[in-house]
Amino acid sequence: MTDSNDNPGTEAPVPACTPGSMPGEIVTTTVDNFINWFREGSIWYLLFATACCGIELMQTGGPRTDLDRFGAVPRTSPRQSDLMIVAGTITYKMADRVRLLYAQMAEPRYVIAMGSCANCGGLFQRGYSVVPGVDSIIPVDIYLPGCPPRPEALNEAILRLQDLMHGERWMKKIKGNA
Amino acid sequence: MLRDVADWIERLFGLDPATFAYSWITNAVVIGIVALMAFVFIAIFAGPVTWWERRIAARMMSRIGPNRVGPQGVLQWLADGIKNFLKEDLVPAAADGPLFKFAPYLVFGGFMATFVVLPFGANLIAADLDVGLLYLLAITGLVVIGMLMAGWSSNNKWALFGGIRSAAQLVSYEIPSAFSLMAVVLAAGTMSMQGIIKAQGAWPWEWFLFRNPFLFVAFFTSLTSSIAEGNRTPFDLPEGESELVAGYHVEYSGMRFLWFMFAEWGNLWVLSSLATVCFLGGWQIPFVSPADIAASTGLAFWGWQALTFAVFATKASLLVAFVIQVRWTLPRLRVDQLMITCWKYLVPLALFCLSGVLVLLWAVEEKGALDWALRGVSMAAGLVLAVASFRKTRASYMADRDLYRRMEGKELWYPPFRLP
Amino acid sequence: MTFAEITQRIGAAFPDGVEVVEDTLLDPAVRVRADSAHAVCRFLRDDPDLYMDSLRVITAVDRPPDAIDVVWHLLSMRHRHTLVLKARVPRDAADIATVSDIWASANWFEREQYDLMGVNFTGHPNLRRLMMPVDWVGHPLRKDYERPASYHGIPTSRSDVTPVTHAEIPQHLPKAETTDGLMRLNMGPHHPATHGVLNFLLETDGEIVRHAEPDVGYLHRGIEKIAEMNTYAGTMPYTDRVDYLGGMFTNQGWAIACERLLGIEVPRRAEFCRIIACELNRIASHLVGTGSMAMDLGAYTPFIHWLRERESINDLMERICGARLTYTYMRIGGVARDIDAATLEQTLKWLDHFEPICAEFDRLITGNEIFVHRLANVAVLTKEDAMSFSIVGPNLRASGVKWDLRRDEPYSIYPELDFEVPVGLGWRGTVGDSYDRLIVRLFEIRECIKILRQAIAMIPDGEIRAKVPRILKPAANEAYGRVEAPRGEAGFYVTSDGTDKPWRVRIRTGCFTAMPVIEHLSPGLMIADIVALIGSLDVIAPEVDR
Repeated sequence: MTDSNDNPGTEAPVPACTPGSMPGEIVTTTVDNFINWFREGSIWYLLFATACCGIELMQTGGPRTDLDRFGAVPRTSPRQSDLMIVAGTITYKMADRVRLLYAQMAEPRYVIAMGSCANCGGLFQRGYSVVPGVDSIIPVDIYLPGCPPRPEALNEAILRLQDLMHGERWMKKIKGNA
Repeated sequence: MLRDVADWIERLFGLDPATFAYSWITNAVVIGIVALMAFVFIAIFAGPVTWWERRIAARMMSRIGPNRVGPQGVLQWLADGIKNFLKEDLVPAAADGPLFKFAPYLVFGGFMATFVVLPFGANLIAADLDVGLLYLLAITGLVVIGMLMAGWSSNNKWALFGGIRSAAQLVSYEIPSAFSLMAVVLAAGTMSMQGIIKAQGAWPWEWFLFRNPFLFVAFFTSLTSSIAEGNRTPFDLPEGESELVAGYHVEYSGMRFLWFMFAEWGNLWVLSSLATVCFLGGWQIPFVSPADIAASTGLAFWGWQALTFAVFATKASLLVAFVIQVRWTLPRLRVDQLMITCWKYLVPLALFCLSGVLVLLWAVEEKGALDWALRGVSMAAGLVLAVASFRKTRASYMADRDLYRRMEGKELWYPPFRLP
Repeated sequence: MTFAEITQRIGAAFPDGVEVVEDTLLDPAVRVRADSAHAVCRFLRDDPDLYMDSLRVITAVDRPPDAIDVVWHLLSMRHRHTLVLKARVPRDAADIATVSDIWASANWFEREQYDLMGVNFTGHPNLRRLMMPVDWVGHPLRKDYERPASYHGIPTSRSDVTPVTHAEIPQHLPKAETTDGLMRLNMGPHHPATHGVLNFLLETDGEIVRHAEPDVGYLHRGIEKIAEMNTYAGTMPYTDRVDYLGGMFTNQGWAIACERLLGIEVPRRAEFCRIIACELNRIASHLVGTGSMAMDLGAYTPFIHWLRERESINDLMERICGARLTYTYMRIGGVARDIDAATLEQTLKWLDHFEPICAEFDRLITGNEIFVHRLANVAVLTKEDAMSFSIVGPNLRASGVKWDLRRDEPYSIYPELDFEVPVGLGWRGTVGDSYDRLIVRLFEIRECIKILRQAIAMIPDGEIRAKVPRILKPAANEAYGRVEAPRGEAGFYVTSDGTDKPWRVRIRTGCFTAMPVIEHLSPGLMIADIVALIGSLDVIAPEVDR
C-alpha cells in the first residue's frame, strides 16, 4: 500500500485486480473490483459532436449498436457526464470551448478522441484553422482511428475504456487523498 | 398506526403505555424506522423503475436497453447510483454555495414527505392524517422551492430558465390538480387517504373513477396535472434537454444530481399511487371488507397486508407504465401552450367537475336508481374510450402487420427481446 | 434571355460600365467597373426583363500580384436565366460597394469574403469576421497567406504537439457581465439543439427572444483552401466532408464542375449509378433532418426509428461504395464502382419495406396534435424573404416557390424521370411555416422512393467511367457545377489556371444562406420556437462553415 508514497511521481504499474500479500489489500482490491464493475456499467457520455463522426456517434446510440446496453447514455450537461467523446474536427475557434467543457466535467473524467481529426487533425491537417489533434488541448485516454470510425469501433472503444477503468484502484486513491 | 406499534414495543419491554413517561422515545424510534422503511422502499422502487423505463423506452425504439449490469441489466440503477456517489461533487465558483448545496435536499425532502400520508396497504400507512390529501398537496410545494432554489443558485442562465419554468408550471398545475382531487373529497366526505379508499369498493363500479361522469373526467384532469407536476414529457419543460440543456439541474453533478433523479423517478410512484387512492379503489380486495381486515389478527393480519399491498402496487405500477409510455411517445409542449392547457382547459374543466359532483351529491341519493344509472353512464364512457383506443391501435397494427411480419423474418434486422 | 441579350441590355443602361465581356468561359461573364457594380446589380434585380431575383454566391478570386476579382453568380427564377457578373478591385485597397441592400443573402457572403479574402465591402452594415476567430491575423484564402506557427499556444503542426496532461487544465472562472434588462444567452456551440457546433447569441426577455445572432465558424476547416493545394481528383474526399449527411451530392457537384471544365461526357450507366446513390442518400439525409427535428421537440422515439431505417441505407451504401458515411463514390467522369444486380434487388426490397414505415412515422408524430401546434404558424418565412435570402432546396419550396434544380435546371438523367416537386401549401398553418418545411421533406422522401424505383428499372448496361487522362489538367477556365442536394443547391465554382490544381474553389451550400434567416425570423419567437426553427431549416454545421 505504500509503493506510490515511497516514490511520488512514478506511479508503480500495479497489475489490475491481483490481490496483494497483505490482508487489507485483498479487501481493497475486492472493493475496487466491486466499485469498478458498477462504474464501468454506467458511463454517461457528453453529447458532444462537431462533425461527421457525430453522425456515427448518433448511429452508435441507435438500434443496431445500442450503447445503452453498456449503461452508456448521453447527457447534455458536462457536469453529469463521465466521458467526453470528441467526435469530429476541432478548430481554433472551438478549442477554447472544448477546454472549457472538459474543465466543467466532474472527476473522474475520460476522453475518447474519435476519428482522425480528433486524433491528429486528419484530412484537415493542411488547413489553416484546424487543431492538429485534440490532445494538444485536453488529455486523451483512448484514441479511436477512422474517418469516421464505424459504430462497432466506437463500441470497442467503450469496452477498452471499461478495461481502463477496471484497472483503477479506487480505495487507494481515496486513501491517498485523505 | 404508529402509536399502536409504539404501544406494542413498550409492552414488549414490560412497560405500561398508559403510564410510561418517556413514550416520546419509542415514538421517535418508530418514526425513524418507518421513515427508513419508506426511504428504502423508494430506493428500491425509484432505482429499478429507471431501469424499467429505459428498457420500455428501448423496446419502443427497437433497441435493447441496459442489459450488462446484473441479469438483463436489473442492477443498472445500482451502477448509476454508485458511480454518481463516487463522482466529484462540484460547486461552481459563481454559484451561491449554501443554497446550491441545500436545494437537492429540499426537493428530495418535499418529495419524501408525501410518504407520510401515502398508503401501501390496508394498514400500511405512516400516518392516516385527517387532512391527508390537503397535506399532500401542500407539502409538494417544497419541491417547487427546491427547484427554484437550484435554478437560481446555480448562477447559470439555462438553470434559471429551468427554475422559473418549473415554478410557473408546478404552481399552475397545482390548481387543476387540487380541484379535481377536491371533487373526490366531496364524494368521499373525508380527506383521509384511508377514508377515501374505504369510501370506494373493490369492483370497478364502486371506484370513484366510474362513480359519475364528473369524477370520470376529473380522473383525467387529475392525472394530466400530476404528470405535469412530475415534470414528465410532454410537460418536461423545466429540464427539456433540447431546449434548456438540462434545466434547473444543469450545474449539478454526482450525489446532488442523484437526489434530483431520485425525486423525479420516485415521483412516478407518488402520482400513480395518488391516482390509485383517489380513483381506482386503492388496495380494496373483492369480497373482503376493510372491517374484516381490521378485525383480523396475527398471521392473517399480515397476510391481508401483503395482499392489499400487492393489489395496490399492481394498480400503481400499471399507471407508472402508462406514464412511461406517454413520455416516450409525445413531443414537448411550448411554455405558452403549457399555460394555455392549464388555465384555459384544465382549470375550468376541473372546476366544472367539482361543481358537478356537488350538484350530484345534493340531488342524487346514493345507491339509488339514478346513482346506478350515473355509474352505468361512466362505465359506458370508459368502455367506449377503451374500445375506441383499442380499435385505433388495432387499425394501426393491421396497417403495419405485414411490415412487422417482415421485420420478424430473417431478412430484415430487428433485435430479439432478450439478448445475453 | 441569352447571355448576349443580357450583356446588350447592361451595355445600353451603363455605356461606360462594362469593362470586358468574357464570353469564352464556360459560364460567360460580364466584368463591370468596380464603382458601377452596385448600380448594375440593382438594375439587374429591378429590370422586369432581367429580374435576377436570386443571388447564388459571391466569390472573391485572388489574382496576384495586384488584383482581386469579385464574382456574383446571379439567377432569375422567373425567367430562368443566369449571369456571372464580375468586378476587379486592386489587391491592396480592395474596396467595393456592398450589395446587401439589394439581396439580403449578400450580407453573409460579403462577411465571409471579407474574412477570408480581405475584400472591404463599403457600406456593409456589419462587416466583421465570420468564420475565423476575431483575433485572427490575415486573410487565409489569399495566395500569399502563411499560417502562423501557433494560435493561443496551440501549435498548428502535428509534429509540434505534445499531448497535454491532466494537471495542465486550468480552472474555469466565470466573468462578470453587465445587464440592461435583456438576458444574453449563449446557445451553443455545445447545445443539443444546434446540430453540431453552431452558436446563437440570444437576447431574451424572459421566454421571448428579441434577437438571435448566429455565430458560425466553429467548424470552419478551410476546405476551399485545401482544394487549392490538391489535384482535381484529390479534392473528391474533401467534398464528402462538406456535407456529412449528403456526401453523394457534394461528390456529384464537384464531379459535374470538373467534368464541365474538362469537357468529359459521363457514360449513361454511370449517371444512373449516381442518381441511385444520390437518391438513397437523400432519403438518409431527410431521415436525420426530420427525425432530429422531432427529437428537438422532445419526441425521441421517431428519431430512433429513423436511425434504424438509416442503418439499412448504410448497408446498401456499403454495398454500393464501401463506405457508410463519407462515400467518395463519384469519380470525375463516372463512378468508382458498379452497382451489381443483387444490390439493386436489395434496394428494391428495402424500398418495399420502407414505404409503409413512412406511414407509420406519420401516424406516430407527423399528425400528432402537440407536434402540429408546436410547428404550425411558427417562424413563417415568406416567399419574398426566401428569395431575397437566397434560400434553396426544401426550405424554399416550403415557402411556396416551386424551384427544384432537378426539374428547372435539369442535369444528369432527371429529365427522363417522372417525379413531383412538393411545395409548402400551408398544410396545417401558413405557407412557409416550420410545419411546411417538415412536410415538404417527408413528401420528398416519397418522391425519392418513386425516383429510385424508376431508375432501377431503367438502368442500362455499359461503362461506368469515361476515358479520363491520368493527370487532369484543364485549360484556364471557369465553371459552376451544381446539384440539388437535400439542403438545397450544392454548387462548386471552380477556377482553373492550366495546372493540375484548381486556382480557386468556391463552395455554395444551402445551409450557409439558411443561417441568416434565423436572425431575421427570431424577433418575437420563444426559445422553444428557435429550437423548432433551427430543426426545421435542417442546418448542419459543416455546410455552413465548410
